[in-house]
Amino acid sequence: MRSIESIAEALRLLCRNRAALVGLVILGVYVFVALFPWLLAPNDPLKRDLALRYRPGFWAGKEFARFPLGTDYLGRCVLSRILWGTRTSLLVGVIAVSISTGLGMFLGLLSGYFGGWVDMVLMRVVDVLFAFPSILLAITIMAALGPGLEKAMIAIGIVYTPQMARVVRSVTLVIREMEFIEAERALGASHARIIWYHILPNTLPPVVVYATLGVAGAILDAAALGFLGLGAMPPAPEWGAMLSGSHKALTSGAWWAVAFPGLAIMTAVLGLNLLGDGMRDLLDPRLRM
Amino acid sequence: MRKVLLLVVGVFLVLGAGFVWASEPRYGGTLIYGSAGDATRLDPADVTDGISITRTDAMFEGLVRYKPGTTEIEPWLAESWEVSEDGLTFTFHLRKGVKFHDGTDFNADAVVYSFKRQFDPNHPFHQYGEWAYWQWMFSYVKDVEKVDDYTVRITLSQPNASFLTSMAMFTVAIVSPTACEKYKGDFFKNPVGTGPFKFVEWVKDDHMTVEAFEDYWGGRPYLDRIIFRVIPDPSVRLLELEKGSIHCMEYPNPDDLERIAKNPDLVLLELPGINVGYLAMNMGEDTPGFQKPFGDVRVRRAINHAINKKAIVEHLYKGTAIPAKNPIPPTMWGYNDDIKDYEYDPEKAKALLAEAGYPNGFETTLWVMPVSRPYMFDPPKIAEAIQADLEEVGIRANIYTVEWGTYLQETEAGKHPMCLLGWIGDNGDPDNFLYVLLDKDNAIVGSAGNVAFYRNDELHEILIKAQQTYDQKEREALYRKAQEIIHNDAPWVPLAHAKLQMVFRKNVKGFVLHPLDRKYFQSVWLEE
Repeated sequence: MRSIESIAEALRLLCRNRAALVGLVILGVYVFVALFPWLLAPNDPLKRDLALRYRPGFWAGKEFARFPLGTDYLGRCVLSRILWGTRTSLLVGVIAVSISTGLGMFLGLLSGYFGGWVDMVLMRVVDVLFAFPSILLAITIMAALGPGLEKAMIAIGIVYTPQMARVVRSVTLVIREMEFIEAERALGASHARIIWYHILPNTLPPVVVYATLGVAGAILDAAALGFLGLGAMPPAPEWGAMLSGSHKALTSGAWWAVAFPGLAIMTAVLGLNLLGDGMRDLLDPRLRM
Repeated sequence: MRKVLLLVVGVFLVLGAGFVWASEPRYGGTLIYGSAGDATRLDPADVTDGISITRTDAMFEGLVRYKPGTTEIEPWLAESWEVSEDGLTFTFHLRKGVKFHDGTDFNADAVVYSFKRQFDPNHPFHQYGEWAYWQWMFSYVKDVEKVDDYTVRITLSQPNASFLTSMAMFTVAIVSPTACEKYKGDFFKNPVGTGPFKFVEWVKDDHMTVEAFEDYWGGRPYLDRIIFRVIPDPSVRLLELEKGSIHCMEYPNPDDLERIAKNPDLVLLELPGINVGYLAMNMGEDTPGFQKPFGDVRVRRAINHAINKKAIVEHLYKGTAIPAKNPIPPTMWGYNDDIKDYEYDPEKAKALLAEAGYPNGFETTLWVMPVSRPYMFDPPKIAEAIQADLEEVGIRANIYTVEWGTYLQETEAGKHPMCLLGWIGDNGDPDNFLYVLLDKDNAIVGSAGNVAFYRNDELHEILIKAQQTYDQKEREALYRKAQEIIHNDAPWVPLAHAKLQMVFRKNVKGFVLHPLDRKYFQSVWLEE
């Protein structure tokens, strides 16, 4: 942590790691697409024409170039929907992870710093949440909240909170025992001051890594919820919903309506995972010689 | 000339011989049936869905049955019957020598037991079922009595013209009283009837097996065994069929029909079905889902004009359906073909909306069922197409969906402003559509069959009159008039009447599709 002097330095180190660099580039492309989908999308993602259902894309010949990646079950442009869907997916990932990071850090810091019965109660709650597979828990929460994109963000945020809380707690436990904290306490600093100025900054490196990996997981889960019809509501373009809308067409040969949204999910998750791994290498002194 | 004639005769002889050879049924073999879902129960009087009815059809029979492929009835467990002058008393003479799967005799006591358990609250078996269909279709039956061992008398509280055709329904199939007494509340897991196949085992959400009943009164069926396998995904069903691990499948994906036609090992059977898929607009001011615009007939007509029905049928049903303009299908008697459907015309829709005071449209919710139904293969996609059509005339519809069981409950309680739903005919009578789905008697919040909560007194009078007259000509005229009234009030957007379709492997023979989607397995056999 202390060896990184600036963001520039961090980026320089990151660039030395090939895999992380690839991840960063992929993520950069996705962020650009999410910010300016209208610059790239060849068609209106909502414009449908039933007469043009399941048309193949550019590989079928010149006359199909109007829909480069073909059309879906309502005759909408697959490419345009993927591009606009990037915005939805990244937004879900980032917001869900912000929720889980906020909540998780709060719980983890309290639990790790105070210990005792606070730790006991909070960690048992976290254990209960851990007991459910993440997607099952998300579905349960969605069942209570009702379908919708905002609710999917909340559900996924809650699902990822326990992981974050555990990570922050374990770091806090170590830092709490360090001499500089003891010194601070001897100087009469309040609990709030110690947590805010001394412990929290030290928990950030693992949090950044987990949050990056968490975005990948959240995108996957959002796609899964969308696939089950619980996430984004039609006609909004969303990768998971695109998959579920067209997967029945696989047997009738319209592979493009399924393959490309799937590819988009895969690449996004791959990019985030590579970046997350790279950052871990960078930030974990034990791994960095 | 003579040579040609000889040649023709020769060709016919060869063809004829081939035909005889090919149609010689063979005993033995196991048929594996790819089913889209699992049965809810196996008591024929206590099921309401097509998937369960397919299973009970293999094991149970009624006093009369539909002739294969038609909605006309023929004597079955009853050999003959008489009707009294006033049309209130029916006397059935039962077939002798029929046995239940448990070895007990079929007789008048069994008939009385099978009926009374459904409507007599003091009957010892009444507590074990919900008997929904009895309420919907047989509430006018007053009493069922035994005259002698093989004669049964049924009295009605008012005449009902569709009574005899309704007697072929699954609801009034005959069950073994001995088995009912033995299994009590578990009878629905241990079904015992007189049908050609007897129950072996049922593993929920996996498979159900029946085997040939050796003592069947009509002679042992050709098949040794039928296994109903549950395969919910239509693509997976098709892959299994192509691989040969199942022999037939129900509800193919319309998008797969081309692929099926190309496969020489598969045979597609299809038939115009007696069903309707529709969009209902909630007109019931006393329901929680009511929205003011739907109380105005101009808005309802505007929505009828706004939806491009033809495109939906052509591209989403892929020619497996015809566009609907009436609640009943054209293959049913009494169909009013003079009615001119609201044509697709967004401009006209906008004008009507403006006239009704909604020049900028309004926001609403369109409910859509999450499951594939025979009358609507892929409801969510149809909902999306409708959503886009409505958007064009300024109506912003959010799509809402819940799990199927809840969906039925909540639409019956009127929580929707608009919903997609459909109906599969039970007895081939217009009454079974118009009265159940559009009469004010069935617009009760909480248990509505009429989910548009459409209440019209003039229509009600016509429908009741049509129920109680036995004159076919008069009934036809009444139902034609009823369709006119419904068309003018536009409580629905009738969408489509879907074809029934099933896909078989080439070696499955003797299966006949039935317009009401009933299935008779005793004539089915497997070629080697």
